[in-house]
Parts: sequence; structure tokens; C-alpha cells
Amino acid sequence: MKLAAILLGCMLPAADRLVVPLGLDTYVPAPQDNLLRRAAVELGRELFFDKRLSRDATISCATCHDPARAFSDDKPVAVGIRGQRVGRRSPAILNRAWGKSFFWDGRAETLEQQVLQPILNSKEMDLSLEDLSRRLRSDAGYLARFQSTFEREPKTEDLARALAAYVRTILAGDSPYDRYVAGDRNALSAQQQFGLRLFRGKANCTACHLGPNLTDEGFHNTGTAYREGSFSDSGRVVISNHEADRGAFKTPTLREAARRAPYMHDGSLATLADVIEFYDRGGRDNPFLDGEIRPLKLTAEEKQALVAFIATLSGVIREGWPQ
Amino acid sequence: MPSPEGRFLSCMDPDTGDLAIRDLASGKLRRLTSRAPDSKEFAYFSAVSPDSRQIAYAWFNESGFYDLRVASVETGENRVLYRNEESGFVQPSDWTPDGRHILTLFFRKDNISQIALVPAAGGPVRVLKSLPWVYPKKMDISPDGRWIVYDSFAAGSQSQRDIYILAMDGSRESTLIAGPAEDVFPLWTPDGKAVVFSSNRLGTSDIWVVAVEDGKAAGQPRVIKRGLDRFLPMGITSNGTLYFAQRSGARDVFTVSTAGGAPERLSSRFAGANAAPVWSHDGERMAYLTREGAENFGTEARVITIRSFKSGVERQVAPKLAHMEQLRWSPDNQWLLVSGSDGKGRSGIFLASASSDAVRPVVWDQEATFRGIPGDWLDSDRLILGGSQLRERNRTSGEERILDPRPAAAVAVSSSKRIAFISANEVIVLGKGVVHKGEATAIAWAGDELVIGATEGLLISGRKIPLREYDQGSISVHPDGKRIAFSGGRVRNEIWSMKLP
Repeated sequence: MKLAAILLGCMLPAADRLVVPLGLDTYVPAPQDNLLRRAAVELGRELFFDKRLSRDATISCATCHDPARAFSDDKPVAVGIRGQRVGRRSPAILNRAWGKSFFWDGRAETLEQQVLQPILNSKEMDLSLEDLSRRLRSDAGYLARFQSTFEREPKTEDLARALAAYVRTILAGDSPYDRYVAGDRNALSAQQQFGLRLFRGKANCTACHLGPNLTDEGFHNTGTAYREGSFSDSGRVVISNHEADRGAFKTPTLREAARRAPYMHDGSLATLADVIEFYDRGGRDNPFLDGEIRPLKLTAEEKQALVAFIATLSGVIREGWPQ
Repeated sequence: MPSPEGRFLSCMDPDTGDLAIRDLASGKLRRLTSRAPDSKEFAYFSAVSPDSRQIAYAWFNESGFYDLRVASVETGENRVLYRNEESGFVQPSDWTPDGRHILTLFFRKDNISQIALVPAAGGPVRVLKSLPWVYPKKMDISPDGRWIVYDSFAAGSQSQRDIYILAMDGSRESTLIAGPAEDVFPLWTPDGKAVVFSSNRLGTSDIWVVAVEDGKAAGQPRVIKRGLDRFLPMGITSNGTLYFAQRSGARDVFTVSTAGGAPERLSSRFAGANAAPVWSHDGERMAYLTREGAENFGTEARVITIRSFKSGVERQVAPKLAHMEQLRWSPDNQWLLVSGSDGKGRSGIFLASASSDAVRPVVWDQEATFRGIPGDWLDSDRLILGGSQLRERNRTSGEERILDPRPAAAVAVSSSKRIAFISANEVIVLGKGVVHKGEATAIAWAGDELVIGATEGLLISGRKIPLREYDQGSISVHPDGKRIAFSGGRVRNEIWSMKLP
């Protein structure tokens, strides 16, 4: 009897589970009304790469969130439909299942809210919900997929569920850093270990970049948007209405950072070395500069070690449901 | 922790620090490890396997962090199962019903706590969930092996806990008990149909039970035993007997005359919850740490209470820190130097306002534990810091110079700028050398005399003030040199059992 109970309680069959890379939690959060399941993830994956989700069928989600570029791109700011510049850099959508809010200013509270906004944005994909629904309903393949997945014809909310489900499966981990933290003392070189000590100590990177996903999911003003006495981008304050959030942007994950230049919310820093120089100077002073940002007085050797350490945060990216 | 059939308890032998089992019928204690008398190693948390033949336990090793080890109950033979300095604190909590995995809490160097499954035969660890600093006080696996129940801070809170159920395969999680009360220490009943937990929702810490179906609450929780108050549930045996530790007595802030005599307990609204007192430089105020929420038989959420001796008013400030260990007033009595750690994995020393919740880091030390590093003010700009070496630090420039290469477990600066520190079993005064050999846990200056906290008393210029109450925590001397404040009191822990209804 007890054995039967244990067997019943066994985990899902291995083939029907996400494979989570080393360094991340096995528990991948998802809302109760959109628990991770194969059908929704696979539908979301198809939608993610489908350019018909943009008005002129030239842009898909993957255009700006390119799997070959750690689900970001190489442009300083995103470029949407008809070559329009969006104003902020395409964030790398890695490990967003653990996100607390979405977009650089945190304007979306859930992934289900987030995934629709680029589609609707006139500078990004510029497709109305009505046109979107019409396109999905006119496609026999989608009709069948939505029917089998959500047991009804395509609806926008189900499209959001499917896209969000897929995004939750984009998981970055299994890096040399993860292996080191898991106990492999040879996973990092002496220089990289020195860089890790700086990362946690003198360089104060862990003030914002901490935890398995190397982000506090918070908003910080580092002065990136402050130039010649004013802010080129107001940042979080537009959403929160708290003046202290002026010029603040969400802390991005550092996973795969070495593979996805340029950096910051506006792509204004070309290399990791530039980023470290920026922080070594104490960011850019302004009335709302985060209290954690101050001159670091790093030596050239320390800066090199930090760059070497950050390179160890690149590893394996998994996406979609395992076949 | 009780063995599943209730034959013995696994525990640490308080006399030797070894892992031991106490036979519940005979009361006899049998050690399963043999720690060398002069070793700094010791056993800590333990969990008994489903067949009662093995015990998983935390072992503080010679390198200064914890291994996860497994010992045979029959032979005492033991092996290291998991050893990783990056996860330097481990707490085995339970075994899966098939005996193949040990549910273990990891506490990482970056102050992340993790709910993990460690294969009992060795192999890769599976981390189920990471939590920022706020580690569960109790985790327990359901008898069918499907669920883990645990407590953790409610969203946005640093003192109130809710209870959660996490699927063993990581597929989902739900909140079992939520609300403004402190709901902690969940345990599954032997039939797996309910979770027993502690809650203070009626004003005292009582035992409650809630029915559970498919990982969710199936009805309202109900109280089953009231008024146990300061208790720590340990485990439930297969016949439904709950074993728990109960604490009596209290720790608090006391003062005693430097001439000796009977100590007096500080009158406080938070009686029994205060520790680490420090007088302001004008002697008009005292700051101390006050526990919030349930006792944890270890670290608890704390706030700073500041008492005015003129008005008798106690007010509190709550700097957003994960742990606070020790306080020191700034020369202008406006700020407090706080040893401890923040929620971002940084242990060291912080500056907290005495009038608001504002706090900012001063310096952190990767070698420090969550208790931070000791420190004191040399003047308004310069600090004396302990830790891996004794240092002077300029707060403004961040420049440091080493005053003594020896580690400093406690530091104290006198009003005439004399610097004392404790290193190993010596008390050293800079420029003078060793002034005391032997056990010392705290130091403070009374003018130019050094007060040393030692076992069951305080030493002043070789004279001992015996204090049964003294708990070896930090001490502070009034600026007039006539009274010493210390945290103390005696607590007694007993283990009880109760048949669940």
C-alpha cells in the first residue's frame, strides 16, 4: 500500500518535464491558470517565431529576441516595424519565469501581460488585437492548435498564455560559475575566482546582481540616462510615480552577458570593459543616483578579473519543451 | 528529531558536540561520532532515515563550514555526503519515504537559502527552490513523497511567515496558510491528510492543524493545543506522537554595578526579547536589539529599540537588514554601527540611523558569517573594525590600515582612544599587549579599565563579578563608569511529546 502511494506520488515522467540547467531551481514558477504544459509551450514557440504577428509580417518576437544572441540582439536599441527605433535595448529574455515585473521600467506585472505589448506597440509589431485574432482564425493550423491546447478557437488571452508559457521555458544556466557554486573548485580559473571575490566584495556587483538569476529584479538609477543635466529617459518613475525612481531601470540578469553586447537599457556601452569602467567611476552622478553606486577604485588587474569572471556566466540556454 | 517509530531521538551530545541518539525508553545517550576534545568540529541538525538505520546530519568541519554527513545507527560508521564551501551551511530536514533522498536546506555564501534534495547514495543535488535569505524554519516531506511543506516569510514581510506546499517534482507550489499571523514549523501528520503547524493568530503560540488534499488546504485550520508558547516542533512519529522542544526562562537586558551586587533586569515593553545593549555616550539612552516574532532557537528577526532614560519611552527603528548582532553609538549619538548582514548576501558592518529606518553599508567582508564583523568608533570619521584582522577605516575615503594582523572577534575603543580586541583566547590592548589569557567573549571600557565578559561573570582589573545571568553576549559600560549593561538570563530547553488527537 505504501509502495503504491509512493509510486503514485512519483515525479512526472522524465520526458514530460522541463530540463532545468544547473544553477536554476527545478521549480519554475507559473501562474495557476497557466501551469507549464507541453501543448501550450509548443504553441507559444511557434507563435514566437511567426512574423505574421506583426502588421507587415516582417517582425517576429525572435527578431529582437534572437536565440543565437541569447534572446536579445546586437542593436543598441530595438528596431521594430518599418525600421522604427523603439528607444530602449531589447532585453535578454532569459529565466524570466522568475521575473517580478517586465520591461526595463517594469510596466507589466506578468509575462501574460508583457507578451502582448510589443505586438500592439506601433513602433514594434503594430498589430491590433482584432487583426491578430483574425489572422490566427484564418490559419487552419492555428485553429487546430488552439482548439487542442485551449479547447476553443484562438483568443488573444490564450495567445498570451501560450507565448508566456514558451518564454518561461527559456532557461540559461549550466555555466562555469554554476559548476563552481555547485562545488567544482576547478570550474573557474584563479583569475575568474579573483573576479568572483571582487564581484561579491569590492566591486559591489551583488548589490543588484544576486541570486540564481543574478538580478534583484529591482530598479536602480545608475546615471546611464542622465546626460548634460537632464534625463534622456525617465525610466521607472513613469510607472511608479515615485520621484526617487527617476532614471531608474530594472536590473538585467548577467547570465550570458559576455555574449550580448552592447549594454545598459540604451545600449550605450559597447563592451563589458566599458561597463566596468562606468561603474568604477561611480556611474554618472545625478540627483537620484542609487545609494549603492559609488566609485570603486578598481585596479587594471581587478577590472580584467571582473571581465573574466562575467564571461563565466555564459553556459547553456534551453528553450521549449524537451522532445 | 525522533526516529519514525519513536524509539530514539537524534541529537547533538551537549557535552562533546558529537552526533548522538537518546534511547527514549532507557534515556541513555549513545554517541555516533567521536569528536576530538580540542577540535572545533561538531554535529548540528540531524534527520533520521525512514528505516531508522541512518542519520543524516550537519557537521561543522575543520575548514569552518558544514558538511552533510550520514551515520549508521548500528555501527556509527559515517561518510561525507555533500561538502561544498559555497553552500557552507546545511540543514538536513527529512528523508524521502523511499530513503533515496535527503531534504536539505542549503545556505549559500551569497545568502541564498535553497530547498534541495541530496541523493543518499551520492550524486548530483537537485535544488527545488531558492529563497533570498529567508530560510524555512521547518521543511517536511509528505508520507506519500509528493509534497514538501515549509514556512517562509510572507511576500514583502521580514517577520511574518506563511506556509507553502511545493511539489517534489517542482511542477507547482501553492500557499497553504496565509494571513497576518506568524504561521511556522509545519509537519505532516502520519496519514498525510493534514499539516500540523504553530500559529500565534490567537495571541499565543499554539498548535494548529489543517486538512490537505492534493497539495491544497481542504478546510479551515483549527487549534488543537493552546498555550504551549515557546516551542519548537521536532517531528511526528508514525503513531502520531509529536515531539517538541519547549523553552522556559528568558534572556533579557540587565545592568549591574561595577562594584558588583545583584543585577537588575531592564524594565521594557519587550521583556524577554532584548539583547546586545549599548549605552549612548551621554548616558541618556540605551539601544538594544529586540526580537520580533517567534523564537527560532537560533537567529530571529530583530529591530533596534532605543530607550530614553529621561522619559522612559522606548521607540524602535527597523533598518532593513537580514540580521543584526551588535550595536555601537556614533560619537554624536545620531547613528548606530550595526554588525550583521543585509538581504543581498553582504556581511559586515552597517550604519543605521537612530531616528529612522535608514541604513547603509559601511564595509563588508566575504570571510564573515551572517553575524557580520565587530566594530567601534575611533572618532566620527574613523572606525576600528575586527574580523580577519584588526583595521582602522576612514569612513569618508574608504582607506584602511591594518593595526594588527590577528583576527579580532570583538573590539572596543575607550573614550581616551585606547583600543582593545579579543583574538583567540587572549584580550589584547594595542600598545600594551596581552592583558588577559583565557576565555573571553566580550569587552568594554570603563574609563581606562577593561571589562571582560567571561564564563558566568565579568572581570574588571582581575576582579570578578559573578553573574549567573550573563550569557556571554556583548556588554556596555555607562559613561559614568558605574554600571554595566549586559544581555543575559537563563533559558532551559526541554523535550516533550504529545499524542496528536
